[in-house]
Amino acid sequence: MVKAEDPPVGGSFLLYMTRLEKARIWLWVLIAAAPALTATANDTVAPQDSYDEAVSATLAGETNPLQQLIIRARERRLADAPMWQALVHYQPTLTGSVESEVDAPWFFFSASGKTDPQRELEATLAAFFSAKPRPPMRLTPYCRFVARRHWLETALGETATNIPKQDCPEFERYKTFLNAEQLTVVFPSAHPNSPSSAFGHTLLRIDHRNQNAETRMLNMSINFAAEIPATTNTLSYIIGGINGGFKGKFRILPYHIKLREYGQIDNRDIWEFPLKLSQTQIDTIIRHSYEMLIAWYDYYFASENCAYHLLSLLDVAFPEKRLSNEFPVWTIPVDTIKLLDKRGLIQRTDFSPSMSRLIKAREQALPPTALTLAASAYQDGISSISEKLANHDDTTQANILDLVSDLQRYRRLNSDAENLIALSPEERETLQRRSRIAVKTRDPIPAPDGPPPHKGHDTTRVSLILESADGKTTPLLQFRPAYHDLLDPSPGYGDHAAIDFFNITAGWDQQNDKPFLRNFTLLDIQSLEPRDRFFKPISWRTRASWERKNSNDRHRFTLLGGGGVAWQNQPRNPLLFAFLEAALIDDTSLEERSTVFAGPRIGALWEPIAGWRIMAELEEQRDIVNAINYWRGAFQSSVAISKQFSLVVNASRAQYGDQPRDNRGSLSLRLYF
Amino acid sequence: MKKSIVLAMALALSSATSVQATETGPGCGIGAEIMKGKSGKGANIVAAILNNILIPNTFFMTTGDGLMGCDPTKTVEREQAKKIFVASNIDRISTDAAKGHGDHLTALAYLIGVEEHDMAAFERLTQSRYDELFASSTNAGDVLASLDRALSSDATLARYASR
Repeated sequence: MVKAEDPPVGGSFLLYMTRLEKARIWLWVLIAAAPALTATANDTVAPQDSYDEAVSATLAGETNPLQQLIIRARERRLADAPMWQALVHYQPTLTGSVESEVDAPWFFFSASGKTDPQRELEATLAAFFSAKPRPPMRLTPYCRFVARRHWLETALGETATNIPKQDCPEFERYKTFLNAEQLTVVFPSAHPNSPSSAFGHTLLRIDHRNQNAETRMLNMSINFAAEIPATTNTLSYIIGGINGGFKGKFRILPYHIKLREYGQIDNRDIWEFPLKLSQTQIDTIIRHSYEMLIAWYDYYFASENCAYHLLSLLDVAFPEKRLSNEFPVWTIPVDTIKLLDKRGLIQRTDFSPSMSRLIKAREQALPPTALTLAASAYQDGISSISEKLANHDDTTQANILDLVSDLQRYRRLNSDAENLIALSPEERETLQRRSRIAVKTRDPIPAPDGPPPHKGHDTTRVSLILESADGKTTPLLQFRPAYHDLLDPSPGYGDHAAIDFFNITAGWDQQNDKPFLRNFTLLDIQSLEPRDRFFKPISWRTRASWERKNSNDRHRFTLLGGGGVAWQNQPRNPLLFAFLEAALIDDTSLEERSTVFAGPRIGALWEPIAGWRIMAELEEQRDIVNAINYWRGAFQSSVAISKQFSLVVNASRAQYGDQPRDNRGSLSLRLYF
Repeated sequence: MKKSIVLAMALALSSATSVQATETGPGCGIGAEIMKGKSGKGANIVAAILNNILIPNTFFMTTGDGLMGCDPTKTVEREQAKKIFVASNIDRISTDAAKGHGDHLTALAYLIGVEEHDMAAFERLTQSRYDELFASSTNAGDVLASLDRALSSDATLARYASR
């Protein structure tokens, strides 16, 4: 219908293309990505002089201090020591050799240091003799590479006195300033609203000696993150983020700034895990953090991400059994917490609620009349309730004002990106009024919804499915590397988000005795954020998938997006949702293969008893191009047999136009590992 | 009709997957990072800090281009730490002061050096003189200056005033 007259528009254009045109589009994608891919070019130039020549000259010459050090290091086979491998971040490659994951050229003193631990160690020893920094470094190798030096000095024993001493006041200041007594891994929980936080994030807090719970926010934190140039567009952000187009760096900054970013702006609950480490281990990590400040890595969203490199920083405390070795392919932040737990490194679990959770706890503590007052003050300002407020006792007044000022701040932080710090006039008015009441109210201490994230099911899932439709039964095998869907056991994940990534389902066609690709879901994200009196978040969904029901069908491609609303009056009650969705479809079985389906979807999700979940959905869509209606109803229920094992039944009925109804049911066994 | 639906969808999809560089907070060279003109919430916070306090030019010099592992302690020496803390949390400190307690107020007291037995007096002071301290001040420098004046006029707390 449209093919002839209408030029291709927006997202659907791919569907109209010939093969050649598609190839051209991919070329454009590559060109668009090129800036991201080449962004690192400036910094990949190796420093002018390596210390390789110094090493060979020393070895060729008469006996001298450096030569003695090198000989001793060779005798003791220090380059093979696990600690040296951890310090330079060497990892085994597929060919059996090693390669350092660090990509900053000045991290290496030998020209072949990235792949040669022996030469790197010898060049490092040579570099320690240098009294001048090597450009572009600001400090001498002796004063920058303090962890390498400390370990080499210990490992070389008496010979180490051959290295000329230098004063390193800056590092001394760093150490004294941090005065680390404890290291804490901080996990702002997963939040699907941004790709960089969809799977959670981890950072390391350096806890200062002699402090209490309140002053912990003043500590410094070490954060590994990709450095994204301001001019980056969305496409190069995604492509660069996935395939290593950006530089990842360790950054050190006050924890209160991170706390603000995650807890108050992004609204993520924050879990804190103080680590069980000896003072020696802590000191080693602090020294290593100092030398890692100048390093950078190519950032890979899936593998070499924040969580992975945080582990690689901690590795120097466990060189014999490196944490990073457990993640050869991809690293999901929560899995790194699980590993720390498995290794017995977690001393304690602390919970710091997000701002919205705190506000909800305040709401619940107020009687209905007070809540109504707070609602009108939130709407029209505190002066609108001035007289009514005065009728309440001081404590109630204080509680109302505390709720209102928190709400007003929340509204400002989430609506005004320009004004993240300064009080708005309405907040000022509320707070001035509050300051006249000299009652000390107690702030609520909201509990988390369930156990901490690392106590939830594992993130990789394999399902054995028996599907039945039209009297035909098809066995299916499904593999999903990450992460969580709404029927998976909820502990540790909560009810409000589902991310299915790279979900592959293969089927066995029993009639023709052959396998077929039943379904491939590249990504399916669903965010269900309940609304209440004060909070009005938008729930949303996006999905990209290829699906066929029978082995002789062609795949239907679906690219779906939609927004909606959700309600849930108490955490344990049913969650109801309603969405408006539209999908670009490409399906050869339709009269016009490229079309748009659009329409509403409503549903309910409930966990009546812990471990038993039910979900019902009904959707009604219009195939716009073919002018045919489609509806589908589905009921699913899951039982968590254990944390790592669940059973799911699924029954659905769907109809497209006046075609026969598609009735199907399935039974799945889900295993998490 | 169809065209607009497709467009709306493309928009919905792109906003659903919209990206923010929130993990790219500023590093040790806080100033250096801002000079690079970064975007994202993390950078906004720091930009706001910069708007609120004057960081001397020498600050940038000492941190160089931020690349070579600038001295991270430079940004966080006590006075600087206090200013950065107030500048980046002025709303929370102000809220705590109005309530007469809270962890942000406690953290500020710690940075000023208030001892535990004077904490109650400090909380009373910041609550009772709320208007003077916060109602008109919009930046960290003003707040810290008014706080200093308030402290020096208080019999118990005068010794915590910076001069």
